[in-house]
Amino acid sequence: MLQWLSDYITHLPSYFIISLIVMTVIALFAIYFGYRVERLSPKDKPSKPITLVLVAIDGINAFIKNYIGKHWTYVAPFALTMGIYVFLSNIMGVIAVESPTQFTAITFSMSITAFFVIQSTGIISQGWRHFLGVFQPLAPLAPLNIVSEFVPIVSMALRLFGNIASGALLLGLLYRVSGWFSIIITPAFHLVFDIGFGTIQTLVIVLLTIIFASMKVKEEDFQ
Amino acid sequence: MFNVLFDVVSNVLSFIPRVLDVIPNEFYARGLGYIGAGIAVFTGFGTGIGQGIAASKAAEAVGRQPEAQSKILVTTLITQAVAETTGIYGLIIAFILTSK
Repeated sequence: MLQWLSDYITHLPSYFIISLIVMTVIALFAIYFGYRVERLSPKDKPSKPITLVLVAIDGINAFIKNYIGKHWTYVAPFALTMGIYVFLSNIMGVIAVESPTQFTAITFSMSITAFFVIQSTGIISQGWRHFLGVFQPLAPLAPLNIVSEFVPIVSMALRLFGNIASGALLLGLLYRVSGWFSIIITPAFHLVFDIGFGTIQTLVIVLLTIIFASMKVKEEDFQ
Repeated sequence: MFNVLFDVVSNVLSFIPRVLDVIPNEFYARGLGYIGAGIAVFTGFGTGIGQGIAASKAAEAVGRQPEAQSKILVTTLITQAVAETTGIYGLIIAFILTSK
């Protein structure tokens, strides 16, 4: 039994270990900042890093409140955490380490979790009437609506995977071709492919989750 | 001059009856896979045209109202990333075919 367990752990793929390290770093930051913010009394003047974190989280919460209304506390933590994790994972290529998001296992797990969050937002806001939403514009179109509920899983995962994996492939070929000159040529490519496309894809995946969740919220006053 | 042209065309066309004489060896499947991967990336053709038209409309909108430039930039980035997905589907098929 112990032999089987140690065999399993030592044969885990490298991107899984890197993904766990990224998650540990994010968790430590969150626990530390949460502890400091909770111990703040209203009369203290907080230091600069804490003010930055407070301003950022307030801004993102206000943005999500604008879209979702009353039940924003069910979507905001997941959206922000997924955004930070995807951003940090996409940038791993700069440190000469494989980025976890260039493997479909990681991107499909993000996208399946987002699917559950979106459906739960619909159920929390509308109760059991959320499942009658597939008959909404016209009843005979129900199969089409059911399929179009499941398609965002595939499209969000493959969009993120395709962008980051093609950048990583291109950079691998470039390193092999240019040998010792790679110090001169490759920083520009890293800037465009890893950091540029990584940021854009993070924005896209977070915004798409928020917009899909906001389409399932019906009866509140705040749309 | 026309003699040379006729010679070249007849030599090329004489390969057509010999296509069926191909005996598959162990590289046949991978070779056709590479050809298929090249055809699959052709989906970028329509994607490039569509995204170019959207980009031209965005540039026109900035020209009409320059103070809205940051909002138009954010909207453009997001809509282009969504429209690029179908082009990426072709790239993923090419990845799968070349790594078999």
